[in-house]
Amino acid sequence: VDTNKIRLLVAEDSAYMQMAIRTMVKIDPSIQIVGEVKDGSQAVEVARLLKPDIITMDVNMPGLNGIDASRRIMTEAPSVILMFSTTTDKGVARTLQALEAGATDYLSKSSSAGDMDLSSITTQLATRIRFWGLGARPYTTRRMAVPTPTPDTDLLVITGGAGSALAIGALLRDLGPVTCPVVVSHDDMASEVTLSLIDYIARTTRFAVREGGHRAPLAPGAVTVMPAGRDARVRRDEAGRWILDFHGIPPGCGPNFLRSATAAAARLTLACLSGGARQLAALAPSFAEKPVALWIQDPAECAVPDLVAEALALAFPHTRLTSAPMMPAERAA
Amino acid sequence: VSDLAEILAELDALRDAFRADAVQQVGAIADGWAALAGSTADGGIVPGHSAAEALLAESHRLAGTAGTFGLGALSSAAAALEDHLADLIDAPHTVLDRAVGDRYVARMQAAIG
Repeated sequence: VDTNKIRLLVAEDSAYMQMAIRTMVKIDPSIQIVGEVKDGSQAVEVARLLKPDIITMDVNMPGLNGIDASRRIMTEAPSVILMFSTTTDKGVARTLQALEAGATDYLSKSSSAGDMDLSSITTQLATRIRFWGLGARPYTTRRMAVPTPTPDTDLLVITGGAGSALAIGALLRDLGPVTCPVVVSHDDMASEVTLSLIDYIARTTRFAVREGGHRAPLAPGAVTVMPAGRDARVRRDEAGRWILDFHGIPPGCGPNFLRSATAAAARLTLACLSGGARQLAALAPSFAEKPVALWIQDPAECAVPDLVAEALALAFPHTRLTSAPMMPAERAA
Repeated sequence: VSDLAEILAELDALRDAFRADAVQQVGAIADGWAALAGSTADGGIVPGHSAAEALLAESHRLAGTAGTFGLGALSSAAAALEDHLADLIDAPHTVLDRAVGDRYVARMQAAIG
């Protein structure tokens, strides 16, 4: 065993998935598989024995399932646990249960749920293992230095990518008082994720939360989650209430929503988490027309750090970053 | 150390092997569902019903692995059966509607050709 490597235990009852994981992690020489087990009980035993840096865990396994195994591991031999989830209603719900049981993060098995292919699953898996294996703290215990929205903020938008649920929760837990509507826009195309994300926000933060609907007013001080894979315009109605308008907007991941939010808000605050950074480059022209308070997640705090850095470089070539978990981007003079 | 192209070639070969095996897996799931539906038609599934639990695990494995290998139609059909079985196990004594599971099994068979 090479102690300089990230020591990985694979808990997976599908022989093909075990082989796939074994093949995928070859991309990163710093990852070493130290054990492979086929059920939750074995995962607990081997975790106790080998004390791996990280465990990839399937949710459903014979005997002890991945949720109960995670709970026992976190009690008996704490380790970083990366859940493999499926994107069905129950799959997402079970994954969030596993996170509450102590699992650290999750990765979707289903390339059918979005635009993932074997190449992106391989890259994401290795990236997550490296990120967590090198000692990053879980989002469930992480504090974010979230700025206080300025009093004139009339709309707060949080953008995240697939897998941002935990970071969204962490941000909302550390967010100070807000009087304006808060909208979460994420680019996960799996519709099942939306309801689970709403459930997760409701259970782990102080915010009232619901799914956005056509012409449903956005409640001030509450969180509205955009339906997955849907885009909308956001505007004020005659009564001055913020509403979402889905009419005539093709499916997508929020370009119309973000552009209309930028245009309609007197003072928009945009909190950008990891994958949500993809939207920034396209929004740059809108930002040039109207000031937006932009909070971005420190790339060092992101499971996929390059995403934020590259998007910012494209959108704001002169943006200077300070080192904080969540901070306003500063325009260089 | 392998580069991405080598890894993807290995994964492609693994996917081909999985796809070939999946024909048998779908057949076993179809048989399992038929047996389950035949044995519980009048009383529903009770908690801890081992045949239902085993079928759920098999559907879960197939859904996850097929999803990873990009076989989306097979994955979603298997996941639908998995969720249906979970519903049946979670709601004991619900009268089992054979046609629902048959539909998912047919979707799996169509996906695997």
